[in-house]
Amino acid sequence: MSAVPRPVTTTHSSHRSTADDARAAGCETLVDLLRFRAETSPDRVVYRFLPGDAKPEQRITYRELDRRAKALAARISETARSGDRALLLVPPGLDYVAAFFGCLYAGVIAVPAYPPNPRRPDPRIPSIVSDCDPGVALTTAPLLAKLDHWRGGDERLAALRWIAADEDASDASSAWTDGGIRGTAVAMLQYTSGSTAAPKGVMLTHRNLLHNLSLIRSAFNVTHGADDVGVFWLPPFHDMGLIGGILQPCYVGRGAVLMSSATFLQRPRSWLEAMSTYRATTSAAPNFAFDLCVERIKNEEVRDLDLSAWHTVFDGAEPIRAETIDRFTRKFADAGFRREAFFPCYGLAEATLFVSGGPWGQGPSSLDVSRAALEQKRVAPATAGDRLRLISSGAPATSQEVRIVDPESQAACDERRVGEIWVRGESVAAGYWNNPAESSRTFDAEIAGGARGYLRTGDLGFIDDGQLFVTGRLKDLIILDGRNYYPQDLELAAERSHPSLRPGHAAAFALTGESRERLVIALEVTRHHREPEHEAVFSAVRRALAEREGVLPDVVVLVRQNGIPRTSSGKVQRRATRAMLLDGTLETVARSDETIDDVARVLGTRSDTSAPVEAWLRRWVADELQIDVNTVDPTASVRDYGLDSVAAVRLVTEIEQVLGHRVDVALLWREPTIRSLSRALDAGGQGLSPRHVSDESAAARREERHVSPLPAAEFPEYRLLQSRLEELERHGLENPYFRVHEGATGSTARVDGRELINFANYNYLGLSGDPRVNAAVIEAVSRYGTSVSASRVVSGERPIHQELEQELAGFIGVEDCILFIGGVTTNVSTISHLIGAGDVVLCDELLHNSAMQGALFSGAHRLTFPHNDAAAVVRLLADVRSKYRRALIVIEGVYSADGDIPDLVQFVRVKKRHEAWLMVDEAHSIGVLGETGRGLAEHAGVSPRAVDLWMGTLSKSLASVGGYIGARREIVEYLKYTAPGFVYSVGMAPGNAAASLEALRILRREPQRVRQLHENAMLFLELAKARGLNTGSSGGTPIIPVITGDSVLAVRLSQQLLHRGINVQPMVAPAVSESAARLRFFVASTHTSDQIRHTVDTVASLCAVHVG
Amino acid sequence: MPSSDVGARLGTVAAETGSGVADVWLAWIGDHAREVDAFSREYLSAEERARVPEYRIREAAERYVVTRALVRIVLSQHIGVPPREIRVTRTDTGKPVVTDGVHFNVTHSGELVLVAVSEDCPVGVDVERKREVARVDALIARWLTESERTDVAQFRARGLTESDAFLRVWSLKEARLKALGVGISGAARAPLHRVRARPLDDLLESLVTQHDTHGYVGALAFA
Repeated sequence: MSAVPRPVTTTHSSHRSTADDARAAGCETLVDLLRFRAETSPDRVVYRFLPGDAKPEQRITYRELDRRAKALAARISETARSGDRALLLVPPGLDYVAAFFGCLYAGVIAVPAYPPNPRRPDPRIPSIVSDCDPGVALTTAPLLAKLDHWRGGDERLAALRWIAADEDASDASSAWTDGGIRGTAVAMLQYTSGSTAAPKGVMLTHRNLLHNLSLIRSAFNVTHGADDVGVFWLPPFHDMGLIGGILQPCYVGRGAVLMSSATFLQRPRSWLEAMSTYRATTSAAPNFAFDLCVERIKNEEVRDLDLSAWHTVFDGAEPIRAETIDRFTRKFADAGFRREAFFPCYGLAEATLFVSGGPWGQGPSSLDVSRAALEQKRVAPATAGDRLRLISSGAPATSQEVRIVDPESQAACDERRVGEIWVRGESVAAGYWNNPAESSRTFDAEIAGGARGYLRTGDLGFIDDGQLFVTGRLKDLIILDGRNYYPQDLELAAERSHPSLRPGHAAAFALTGESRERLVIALEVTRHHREPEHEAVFSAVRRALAEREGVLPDVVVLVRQNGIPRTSSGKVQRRATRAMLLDGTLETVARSDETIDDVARVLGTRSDTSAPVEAWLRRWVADELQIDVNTVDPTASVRDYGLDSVAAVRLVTEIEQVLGHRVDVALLWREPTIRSLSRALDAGGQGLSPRHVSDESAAARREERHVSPLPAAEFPEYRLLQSRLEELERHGLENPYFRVHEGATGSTARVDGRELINFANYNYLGLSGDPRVNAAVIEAVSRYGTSVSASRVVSGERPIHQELEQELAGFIGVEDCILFIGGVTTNVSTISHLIGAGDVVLCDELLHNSAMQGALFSGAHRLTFPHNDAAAVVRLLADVRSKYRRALIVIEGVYSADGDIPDLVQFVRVKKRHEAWLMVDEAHSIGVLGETGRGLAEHAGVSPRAVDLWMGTLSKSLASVGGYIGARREIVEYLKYTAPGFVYSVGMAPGNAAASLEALRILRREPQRVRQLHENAMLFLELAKARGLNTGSSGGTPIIPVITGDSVLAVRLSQQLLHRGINVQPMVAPAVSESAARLRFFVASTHTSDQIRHTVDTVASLCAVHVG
Repeated sequence: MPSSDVGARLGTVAAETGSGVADVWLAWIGDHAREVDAFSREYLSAEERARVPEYRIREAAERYVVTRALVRIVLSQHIGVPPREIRVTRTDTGKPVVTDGVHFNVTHSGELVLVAVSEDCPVGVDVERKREVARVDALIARWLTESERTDVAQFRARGLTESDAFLRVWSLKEARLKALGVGISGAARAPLHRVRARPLDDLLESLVTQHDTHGYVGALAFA
């Protein structure tokens, strides 16, 4: 076995601290470092990884990490030699850490990159592969399988040897031998800068890394507490996450808790919870992360956190905002967070990581400067009315040199001047991989009349009183009339100025104009943005920029959602946006510099949006036939004007150019008049766009777009649906809707070949699927056929209809019943037929949609009363009853959102007092409530005759499909002869009637089913409550919600439960309010108590992680 | 049967593949302006007659009556049913057809109406008035296939103007589409290459008439 590395005199300038034992041991490489740790503290847990989703924490000790690294190194070394490159495509986690060290142990150069999304592989990866020519790639076994197609499709990728780093080959560790690499060897390549076409890999040697680790250590806390623990979620593929989050803890000999950035982004609270749980002292995050926490974490949740141990958070990687720091500090003060923990810092991959930060423990320091002076590249104190607050990026590390240099002349800047930040020191990388030209330009710059060997960071800033202030990127700087503007400031000012805009999705840049630079700001708009709003947005942006930045944009460009290019780490790419605007590939929705064509004025105002289309068509016909446009009759057809086929396609071609989308030629022949044709054309788009009318050349250049003649894709309602579904996808969730179940479904279901416990259907008594019911159906179909093929009024009546109606009437205790072929249609037809204009209908606010629709279609005055509030109904009726002919109150027997029951006695009292009719929708109470399942009346001990209309469905307890109304004989007769939903509908299919008839008979014979249902429901509810689940107001019914208060969480839980063999559907916004989002469990009599226990158990343990 | 009252028989055209022959008839709308009422009563079906007053433009009514009359007369020759009683229906792509085993197709442009009829196979016919077609390059780009664009180039190489070249290629395409019973919107998926089409220049030129047949291009296709 290898020995502890012998002490070697180092050439680093360094702090020699007695606690710096790693340095004292003379570690020259990261391999030495880890092996040192494995020797001296082998059983210490160095990293914990939180996979998220309530999965348990994973841990690794130094010994295990050493072993895994050796094993991987041995495997890598089978085909790779020292100095070869190895691509790392491993998701965040312990596998990643092991893979990284595995590369180092093998002496190969690690090239980390974001693991690709199998559905949208990153084009940067093949480009990186081309640039650094690795021989081997490390990934995980699951990802290896998913990326098969992608790998096979690109010969560069296919040529690599792919190793699954997560497969345990621990016996290989003994095969490892120390390659004896030196500190000068390149350890890794960092591909963060550069474009896809021209990637730039920063070469970092072991020496660079160890030097920088020592700088970081010195800068932030000379004496570490033995209890120091770090929590890091930054991507480990980039400098801050890798060096700060993974290498630094190993370097200082303290532990770290790691999470993936996805875990944080999906649920920002997970970060602070981890800080609290582990009593963490240290962390790191960019500016946006603090804002995200402020926005997404509720005030109530702050009190549950204990952040008092937190003494350091590195704040870097993007511009640091004073407001962000203030907001975060204020919000989390109650949890013990202190402002002094903020440790703003600055660095870049080209200098390994750390360039400036601290002094530690003082919190962020700020400087108020004159904005006007700063635009002139000078630093002057702020005056009243001219103030800009800047946050410093800390003190430059003392063992490096940081200079401010004029980027043009390369002369050193005087104090109080803004220039480019140049760095020289041991942490500065040797250069870019295989790119000597770029490397010498960037890494070996010379100060005019002075020394060379400086790194040009490309960032602008100044030093004031020993503190470095970074103002922006040189390349992005916008210079207008000799004044410097930083695009991020302009973007920030503009992007919140109008609700149509998407904050964080804007790019400001300059275009060279004829006489001067023009300021362009491109902003993404949400999907809901509509054309008439363009001007409003332009104005808002202009006003915001004028007020906050003192500058007016020359052009405001509105871009389609996600149309502005971003880097893999999410930063807006301003130069790429600019290039796309210039070559016309930017998906522009509108530009403020378009001139409105005169033609639009000629065509008149757009009160009727199709009027311009009609006018255009008439003008076209007039031109074609050389006649006066006023003689072109809009009530005539284009055909009447004798278009031959060439003229027809000419017309269509021009219409397409005008409207901007494809048009079906058949439309010309289908529409009877020019006017109706105009409307049909206009319905397919948004009317005439004036700029198209005269722009022939642009039209001819227009690419062919593929749009169907029916404009469904353009409908705002459809777009809204799409955006909701995409929202799910963005959260990494499967679409929970339209899950296909195989075979008969009851308390269990079969989906994708897996057996699940099913809580997502209403087969309350397990009668659907019962062989007796099936047999009855078959018998009825054999006798009557599958359809009655006519309305019951004419020839569709069958004995089985009457049998079922009588059986139902007898069961629920009314005079007669009428069957409808669907539950929805029962409500819609009945309500809209029995009442109308001049009547009033009062609906419980949670009433089922079908009844609400019936009320809407009836034309009666509709009033909604608070849920279950009979007193409110009294007040309402007292007020208005006399104004109306008839009054109808509609409630449900069991409400399906909450599983609660109304007080029938109260409602009956109300209806009697005010001469109103009462209708009860028993969809979820028939076969469910009452000792024998006769519904709400039995449950409440009220005579069924007290209610005027009993509505029910046949699809739940009664194992079929359809609906019924039970009422007095006259009402049923009236409906049978006159209700359109009955008269004009085919009669119920014999099979359906037979199913319910048999089900009803079984129910009469076997009332114990209802008892069993009640017991199961009670068991579920009690267990759920005992486990602290929020079951809302459910009581005594088989519908039990588990309220999550968060739509995304509800969908995620549903997915997790599905993976654990339990099927339950979420109920989310907008069906319910966000705070009422839930899972909804429908218990059946056929569930076993084991299934119920297991389910509640599983739900509770999943919820424990998510909900407070 | 007063066949010489409406239209002249242009001639019989044989399909290249030997799969059949088609008769092509022609009528000049203007010639019969005064006879619209008479034709309407004599040749049109009851439904067609009822539609005539719906036309708000005189010329449209004339074109309608003359076209329908010509079609009925020509069909009557072939199937032996009085013109008025022939039942014309439409396919779901809108192509007019009869069920009596006779294929026919109609086209018109300007003053000219053509009817082609065959007992052997489906036919398509198209005629276009020659004129300067505005923005013809946009039409070529939008509606023609790669090989059709090559055809246009070949015509141009022979000295035709772009408009004329386009009209020729277009009428051949239309004739094919109509023989298949497919509209232009179905062109992308239609097996046009399997449909033979030939220009009608010879027939048009052979006609003795005071009308300007040179002002038209036409094509006939057999499916």
